Amino acid sequence: MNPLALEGIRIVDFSWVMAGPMTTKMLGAMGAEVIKIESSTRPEFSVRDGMFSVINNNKKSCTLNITTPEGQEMIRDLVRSSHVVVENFSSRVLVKYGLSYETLREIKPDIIFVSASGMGRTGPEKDLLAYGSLLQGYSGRVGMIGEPNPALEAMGILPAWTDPITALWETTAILAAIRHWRQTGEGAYVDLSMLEATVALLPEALLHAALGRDVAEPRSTTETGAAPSGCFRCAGDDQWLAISVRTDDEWRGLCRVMADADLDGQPFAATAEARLAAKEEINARVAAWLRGRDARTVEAALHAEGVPASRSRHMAEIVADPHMRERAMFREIDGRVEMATLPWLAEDNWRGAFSPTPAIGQDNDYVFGTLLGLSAERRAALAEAGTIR
Amino acid sequence: MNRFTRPPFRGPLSGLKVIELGSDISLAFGARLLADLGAEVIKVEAPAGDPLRREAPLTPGGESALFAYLNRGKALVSIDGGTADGWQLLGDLAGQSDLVLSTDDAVRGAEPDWAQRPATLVVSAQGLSGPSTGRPTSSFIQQHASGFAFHQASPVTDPEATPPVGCADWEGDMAGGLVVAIAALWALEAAAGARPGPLVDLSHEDLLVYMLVEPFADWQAGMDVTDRRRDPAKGLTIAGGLVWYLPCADGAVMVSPREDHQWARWCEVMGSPDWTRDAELCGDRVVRTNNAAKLQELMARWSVTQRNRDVVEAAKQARVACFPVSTPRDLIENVQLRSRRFFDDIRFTDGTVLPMPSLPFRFVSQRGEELARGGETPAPGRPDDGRDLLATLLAARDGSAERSAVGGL
Repeated sequence: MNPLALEGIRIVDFSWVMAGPMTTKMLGAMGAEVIKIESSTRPEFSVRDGMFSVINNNKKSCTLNITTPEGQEMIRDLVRSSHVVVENFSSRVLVKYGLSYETLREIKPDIIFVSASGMGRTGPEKDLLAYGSLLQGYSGRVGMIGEPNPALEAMGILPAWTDPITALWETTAILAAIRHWRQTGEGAYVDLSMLEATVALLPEALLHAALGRDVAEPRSTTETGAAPSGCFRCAGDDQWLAISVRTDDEWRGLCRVMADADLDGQPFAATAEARLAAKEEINARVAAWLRGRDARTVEAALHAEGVPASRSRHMAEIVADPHMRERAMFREIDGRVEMATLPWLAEDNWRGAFSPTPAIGQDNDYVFGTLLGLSAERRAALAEAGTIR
Repeated sequence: MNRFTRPPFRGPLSGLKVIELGSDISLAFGARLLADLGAEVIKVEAPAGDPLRREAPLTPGGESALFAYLNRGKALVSIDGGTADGWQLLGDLAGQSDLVLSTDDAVRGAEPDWAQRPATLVVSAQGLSGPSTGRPTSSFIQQHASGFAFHQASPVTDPEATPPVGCADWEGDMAGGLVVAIAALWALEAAAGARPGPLVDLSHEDLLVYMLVEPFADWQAGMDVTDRRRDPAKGLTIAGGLVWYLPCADGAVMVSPREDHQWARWCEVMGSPDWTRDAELCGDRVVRTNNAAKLQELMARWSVTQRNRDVVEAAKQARVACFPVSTPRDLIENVQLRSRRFFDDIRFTDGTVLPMPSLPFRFVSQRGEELARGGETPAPGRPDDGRDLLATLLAARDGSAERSAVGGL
């Protein structure tokens, strides 16, 4: 087995913000060589802490002014020896700088060119300016999470969803294209729409609407077909316990844990159907019972009785969770705790290759010297002229 | 077609053979994506059928539309993996495949002992190893256990009144399906044909944690990720720029006129009310950020008198980023999605035809062949529709003993 299955694949990465960088981070974790094209004059690249450093490891960084003819020529040279191009430019920029698929395929016919944009590269709305936060609304998901409010709180806008989801779709498409290339020698063009990437994950709402029906309950706050089901306040500072009871066994387990609440003596206790019909009342009883209780104690008791339940945990607790640590979801690298670079576990606790986020322009000599064959004098002259910057 | 005509492009994964075992939304969706990309996927159901066949919504004829969304394009067969013969038959099928995708239940919670099995991906709630494996859970519970719900309701003005909140729809499970597809394609390449192939352990909880890039970055930077209360000094800036949610006479819009030139044009869209000339209220981006809540109130007074489609159209003409908050019905009729042939039509045996999202990208081969989108295809049939396929497979062996393990044969 070779976990670095993409060794030998070189990716030219023009992407910025979240979706593209998360994609190339994953591909880098599988062994691809990712050349990130940056510019030291642009703030989206020069500020490298926080989220940037989490999603830009496993890459080599070079700095290039792609608005100059020399910079564009260097890109074309780089593409000649590469296999994949990842971009999220506006349509106008792509053509203006000679970086469109049509141009690059003349240089490298079997290039895999992957374009991610808000609306996709075709259609009447292809040129609309679209931010990920607005796509949350346009895709419909904002209307399915929480209650609308002017502060946009707990409506699914944060943490980012559309971007990480787009990254997963983009990675899927690229892996399929690489397999196709390895088997046939043929490249491909992928035109990915972030709007479509988000909508494709909302089948329950779409299918109900297509049948002229409404979704019974929002899944963001409760589990359909379960009673009780919800997120309930417990004793202590901001402590919440999620509970979802679907089967008779789980119901009996809940009744044993909540013995003093006499749930099984109530008229709704007899059948699952009766409990679903009385869901609101059962949820209210559970909420009242939990309000002064310790979430951790009740959670343990529910687990012992086979009842699905979890405290609503935060990142600090998850990073410290022995289960997550044993599964190598987090590990210490050079004295710093890092999150796994791939969300699955292979033999020997392998979770993807990891190299730290590069300093901006860190690999200029490798990219422009080793890969493009430019002499040190020529590179110095290009830096002086502002092409390498 | 004659011998000079190339066969139609079936997708980049054409020729790949995949076996799917067990009932799980992420697993089924991931396998369907591979089928969409050209793989031949055989879904094995237990004799009672996949419980997801009963999941809402149902067509008038009683077929599950969700099941169809998850399983169209697959061959369906019925085998009882609980019997010795059935287990052996699954091993034979695995030996003829390039990938096995399974739930932990379907492979009895461990690495299957089939000598000729290919790369095998096992999906479970908390993974196959670790001290918390086996905790009772559900799709809803996983979103709370993974931290997704807590951080989706953070920061908020009043944590006491704002419980943690999960994803919309089946999103958490669907995202899991994407990771199933990615992990499967990686495992295929990593295995390089080895038999038995590597085992990949995929946990629902892990992949939800993986999505929490921002909370993890905050934790790494030493920030307090345990406190959900909003810091009023930080204003209402969302995701790097000002975004406002404006209720309309019908529905709502979201708008983000971040830069000064965009703001100037947005003011014209609103009819340039007097307050837009108050420099202390909205003079530049910093001022607008500080006054975001007050501006929301003033803009909402105007927007509630407008139809959302009129606001969006006027903003579009003014080149201001503005979109409606869509309803599911809006999406089915959306001109951009329709123009890109995003919806396939799925025909059920009772005659119902439902639009369903296809892959969210156009895939065009170097030869210019485009993966089909927007066509009509049949919904998946009954569990024993693959009986001919199974009969063919059984014919190649002395299959008399196995027939008892096969539904419908």
